[in-house]
Amino acid sequence: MVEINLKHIYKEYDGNDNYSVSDFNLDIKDKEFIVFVGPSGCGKSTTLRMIAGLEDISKGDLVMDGKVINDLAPKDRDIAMVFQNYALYPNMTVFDNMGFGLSIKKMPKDEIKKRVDNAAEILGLTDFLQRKPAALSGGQRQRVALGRAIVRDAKLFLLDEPLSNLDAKLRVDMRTQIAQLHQRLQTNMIYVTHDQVEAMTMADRIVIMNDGKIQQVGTPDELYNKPTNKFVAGFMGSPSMNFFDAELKNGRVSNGRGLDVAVPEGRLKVLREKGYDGKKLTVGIRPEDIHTEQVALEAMPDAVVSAKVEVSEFLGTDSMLYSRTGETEFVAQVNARDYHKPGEEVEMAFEMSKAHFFDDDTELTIE
Amino acid sequence: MQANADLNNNTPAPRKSKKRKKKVNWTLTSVMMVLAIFAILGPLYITVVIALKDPSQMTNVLSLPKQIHWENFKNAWQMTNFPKMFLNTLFITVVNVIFTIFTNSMAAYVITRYRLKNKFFNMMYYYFISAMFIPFNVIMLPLVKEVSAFHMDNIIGITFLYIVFGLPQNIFLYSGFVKEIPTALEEAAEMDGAKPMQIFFKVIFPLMKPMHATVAILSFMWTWNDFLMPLVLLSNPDQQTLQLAQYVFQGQFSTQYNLAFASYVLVLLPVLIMYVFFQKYIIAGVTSGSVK
Repeated sequence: MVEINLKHIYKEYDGNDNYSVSDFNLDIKDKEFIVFVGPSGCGKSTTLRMIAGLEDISKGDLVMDGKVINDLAPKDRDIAMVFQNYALYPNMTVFDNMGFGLSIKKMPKDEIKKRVDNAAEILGLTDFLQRKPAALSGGQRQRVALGRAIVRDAKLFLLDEPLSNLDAKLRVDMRTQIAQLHQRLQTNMIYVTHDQVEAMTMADRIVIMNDGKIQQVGTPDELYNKPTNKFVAGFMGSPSMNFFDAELKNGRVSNGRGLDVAVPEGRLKVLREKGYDGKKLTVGIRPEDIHTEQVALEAMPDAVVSAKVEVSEFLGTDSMLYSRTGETEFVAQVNARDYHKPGEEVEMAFEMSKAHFFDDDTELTIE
Repeated sequence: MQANADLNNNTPAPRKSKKRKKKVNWTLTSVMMVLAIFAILGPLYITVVIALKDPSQMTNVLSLPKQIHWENFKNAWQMTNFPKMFLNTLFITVVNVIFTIFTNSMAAYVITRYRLKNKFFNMMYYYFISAMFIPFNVIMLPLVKEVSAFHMDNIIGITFLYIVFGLPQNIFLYSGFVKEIPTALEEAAEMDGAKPMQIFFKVIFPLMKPMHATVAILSFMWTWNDFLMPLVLLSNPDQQTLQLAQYVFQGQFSTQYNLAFASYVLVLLPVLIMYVFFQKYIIAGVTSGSVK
């Protein structure tokens, strides 16, 4: 049973006026797979390194199983880490790389061999144990890095963008392998990535960060469907959510630049109660909530716009239609059967019951 | 078929290679190479030729010996007390090379890793590098005083001084190399539970192998060939080096050139052999880290 609590953690670098990480609060439950996600420089790797002990914590407490471990050296924290560039020791064989941590602990050679062989079997590395890292492919090196963490049998696994150096296909394979590994090992894992697809597919819970602050913590479903602010709504999902600066008037949102659609009664009631009637707000709608099928056009006649397709991308199952209505640009993700060529005028229905509304000043979700 | 035809029509015709051929002035290059060969092999030829002559054949230094006098080497061997001097020089050189590699690499590693985080280490870096610009002759006499005051005017003392005097150049060389080693390796070892000394000796030190080879060769050649430092510091005749022993051929009124040159060949051989076998490491090490 391992519980990790990050209590009001701050990180400040010398000569930097702003905190790189500020007021980071998170309780990680036993066996949980947590993913830190956010754009480059948002503080996710810094937070991970503070948990590892590779960076000092400027303020706050890092608690593991009830004990504050801020000042504990990395080697005494019982944490294993997988680095972005693998950090395999080039002078050692795969076997020695994986067994290095155990030999440092002066574990008997038989036990080291047993553990390394076991990890190598799980990761399909048995045939490569006597090779040096230079003689391995990117995917094999990544597995060795994972193996080095597995043999340690640590309380917590930290993975710092471990798949970012792999090609797209290998990344998908390794993603599955890491998820299976978590299920098999039943250990706490904290995984850092800037790829929201990795975050969505692997995490029990996602911590989304920006400018050193947590924006939202939740399950992939919560973050995607109930974002707390405009940043989260825009970051999660690919292609990202369409945003429009609009005004709510007479039950419709309009931006005066081509977009003018009705808001369903239920959503309208909430917006009015919050005092947004006649005020400016930001409307967000995901590309997949914009439809071109006839049935949708008939079901949502008050939310139909006439748009011109400017660029269209055929992706096999779906089509991306980069379109314009008046002076308003947006992207719609439609079924591949509804593919439209660039230049075509297409009627599109905005499914406003699934739209998100954000305050213009605070950028928080209006709910 | 149509598609194939289109494909064929659209295939661009192979272009002629636009590689520019650089014009080489072979005449000038050949002249330069011949001059370089003469500059290097000329003195070596004269050394070997004189070493095989007797004094009566010295009138023309370039001529080949009429009769080969191998006994010159035997005489030189005896006059210089070669085995004793050889062992003294070998001791100083080998101990210097071993200690230089261990201590200088460690100092360079710490300075390089911390100089961006800590002003003290940055200052230390420039302190050591600046020492490269101080000629030995400037500090020679004060050093003699200091060394004799500490009773270090012996082969142990001079070995210690070689290790210290090598620091500036070796920190400069190692530093460029250490910068190229990713810090993630040290962090990984730290996460694996290694202590700083274990990180250095088990992970970093083996990775420095190419630079160790360079430093070893440069230190070896410098220590083996050095004349000035043993001259001013080694007062005990029993502790002299091979270089100092070459003085025995120089009398007040005459010099036994044939024996002196035979002795030079004997002294030169170990360095020459070392250089021939390891020259690729010298070039690789000196240039490594200078460009990505």
